[in-house]
Amino acid sequence: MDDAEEAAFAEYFRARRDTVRRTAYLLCGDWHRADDHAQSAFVALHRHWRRIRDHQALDAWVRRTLVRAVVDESRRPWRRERSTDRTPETSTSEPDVATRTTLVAALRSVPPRQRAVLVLRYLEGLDVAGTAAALGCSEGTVKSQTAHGLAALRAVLGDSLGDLREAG
Amino acid sequence: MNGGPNADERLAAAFRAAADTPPEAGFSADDVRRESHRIGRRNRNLLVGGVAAAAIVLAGGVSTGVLLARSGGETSAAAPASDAGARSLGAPEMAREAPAVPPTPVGVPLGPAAGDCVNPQDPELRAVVDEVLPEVATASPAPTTMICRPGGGREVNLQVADGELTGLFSVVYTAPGEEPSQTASAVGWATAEVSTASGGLVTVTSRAESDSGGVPFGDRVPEIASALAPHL
Repeated sequence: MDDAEEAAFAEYFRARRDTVRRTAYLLCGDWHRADDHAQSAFVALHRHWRRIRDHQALDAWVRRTLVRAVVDESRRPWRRERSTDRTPETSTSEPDVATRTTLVAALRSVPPRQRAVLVLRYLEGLDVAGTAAALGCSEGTVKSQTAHGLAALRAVLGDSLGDLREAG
Repeated sequence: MNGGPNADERLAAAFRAAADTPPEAGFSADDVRRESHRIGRRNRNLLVGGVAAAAIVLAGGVSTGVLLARSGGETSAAAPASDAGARSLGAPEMAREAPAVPPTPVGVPLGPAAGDCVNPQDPELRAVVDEVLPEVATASPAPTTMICRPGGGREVNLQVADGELTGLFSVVYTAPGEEPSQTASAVGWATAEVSTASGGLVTVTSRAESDSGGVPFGDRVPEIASALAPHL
């Protein structure tokens, strides 16, 4: 990349690094792994920077790369995730911190693709069409994955976030 | 979002709160640039090494041909694979630019690998696959069995995602004179075999993951095999 392109990349990186890290964190539930995934996504972006025609679509490109990497990793035998019915325990008495910890733990009990749908919709604020585009699947799949993911989340969280039955 | 705005808003607020206190980032823009350049250098070295090895093999072939001709023997030129498939099958949103390092030039194929056993994750073949099919450039290597198969072949086995379709994507190069491995032809598979420029055979196989609902790159497998053939 030439100097102008490097500068443009650096500006984009500054603006988006923490947002991408937050998304990665809710996708995988661990800040160290989140940083690894976020860094890998930015490295891939740096390598493909000149090939991406539409720089308005950078967010979507990074989002798609990140989600794919986290979901792929969850399928590796040595890190294959298992859903659980056990309610996660919290070790703090501070209510908002407890809710935070509980939500992150509860998300880890949701299957990876359903979790990705929930994170894209509720953290990134994407609608059904935007989520489908990010994941490369149909809107119908997003709707069903959202319903299944919310059901899994409700099963773990109970009423700790209020009545979530109308969500989705 | 459909219906239930209060519940949706509560969830959105909870999601934001759950990630609103990130620790200090463990990487900087300089780290990203360094890693990007390191990967670029690695790929360049792999391609240069592959081209050099292929050139040595070709030089040997030419010498042998000259000697045979002088002694009255008959030679036959291997029919080179068409270069029509040599272009990349890049993702639609990618504009094809002149890559930092050109792919293995058509006519100078990668050819057989050195070593006693086929490497199930051959780095030189991986570089070619990444160049021809950029969608799998970030795909993870798939676990493989550790059985030593001799014969100068090359393999790449990847866990891939093609939209919502996931599965195992394998590229197997069989060296000239070697018997290709048998591949099953069943539901949930797509496979294609094409003769390569070095006189070998490239077999591209995509298998669906059981719950995936389809074969990743299923319709494109023959096209991918044809695009790889001139490089192998």
